[in-house]
Amino acid sequence: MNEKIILYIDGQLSREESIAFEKEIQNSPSLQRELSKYRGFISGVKELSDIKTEGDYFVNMIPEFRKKIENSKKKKYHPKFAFATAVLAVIIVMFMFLPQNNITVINNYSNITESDIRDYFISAGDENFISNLPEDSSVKYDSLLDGMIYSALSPSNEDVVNISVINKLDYNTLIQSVNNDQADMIYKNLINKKIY
Amino acid sequence: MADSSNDFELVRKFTEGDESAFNKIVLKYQQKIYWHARRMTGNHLDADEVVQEVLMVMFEKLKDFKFQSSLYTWIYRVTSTRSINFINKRKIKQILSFEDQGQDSIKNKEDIIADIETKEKLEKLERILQKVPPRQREIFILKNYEQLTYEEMAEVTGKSIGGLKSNYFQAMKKIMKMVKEDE
Repeated sequence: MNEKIILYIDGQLSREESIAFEKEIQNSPSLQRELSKYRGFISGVKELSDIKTEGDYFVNMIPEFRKKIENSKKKKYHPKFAFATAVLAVIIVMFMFLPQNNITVINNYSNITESDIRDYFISAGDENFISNLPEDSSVKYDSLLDGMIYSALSPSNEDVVNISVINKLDYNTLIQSVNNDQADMIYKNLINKKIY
Repeated sequence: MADSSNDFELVRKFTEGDESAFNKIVLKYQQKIYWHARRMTGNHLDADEVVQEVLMVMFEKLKDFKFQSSLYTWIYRVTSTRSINFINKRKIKQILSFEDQGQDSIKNKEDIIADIETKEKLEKLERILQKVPPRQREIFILKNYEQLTYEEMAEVTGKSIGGLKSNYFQAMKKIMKMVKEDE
């Protein structure tokens, strides 16, 4: 097809170019056929610009749209939000079941060393306890365990006074201060007591 | 172009909360929206999807409309953009085989055109137009169906008149070639 026909019909040729092309058309039957075909196509397209429709498509357009809006308002499910929630739930479950630290289970307490105890509390994350540990390595581990029990029981001030009366030194003083008569009396009282 | 005398009033009422004003705007422009989407997408079902998207955009964005262009121009621009986006998505789906070729014949069965002869003519033209790039197709539709001038088309598309003329020329060249081959 002669491309000039498109420019000619579209009015894109200058006045001089249009006059020259019109002369060309007059002298060319094939150009005339092409021009006629082109014009026929364009008028066919324009005929299709006003088409009668059937059914209630346009009548129902607004009600359909309103229904869609109502549905979207009711719709609580948001795919992105649901995905984020699922991922969060998986992460929480993973944290619940994963061990927080590598805590060693000690079966034989007789072999516990000070560094074992330090390592244990470091791995358990009890920094307060670690900071309260005696720096002197000569301290017996019993005292460490006493400290743990003391901390666990959390005795009141009154309890502390009572406990301090029965520590090792006070016990010896007490024994020495008891005479024979008192010892007999204590013995008799104890022997008559039912101790379960 | 369309009469925009009461468009301002309708938009103002809708902005103030009068939902019936939105219905009036849709009633006024629904035919233009549908047919523009239909010519761009090439079938009724796809056009209907685009129409629903356009109405949603209008419903959500009309309250921010400042009348820097006419409402008619804005609606056309929204319809064009949504149609082109839809066509691109459809093309991707076809390439990835989410949608087989048989879908086209199913889509063509559902239609709102009453006259069979008209329907056949339209389907023939739609098949040809679908082979033209969407941007060139848009110019062809605006010029021949909507009979807009290049100045009006420039307002709708935001493109230069020279660019539009060139696009139209390229579109017509392809279309006439296909018409000749189809005979």
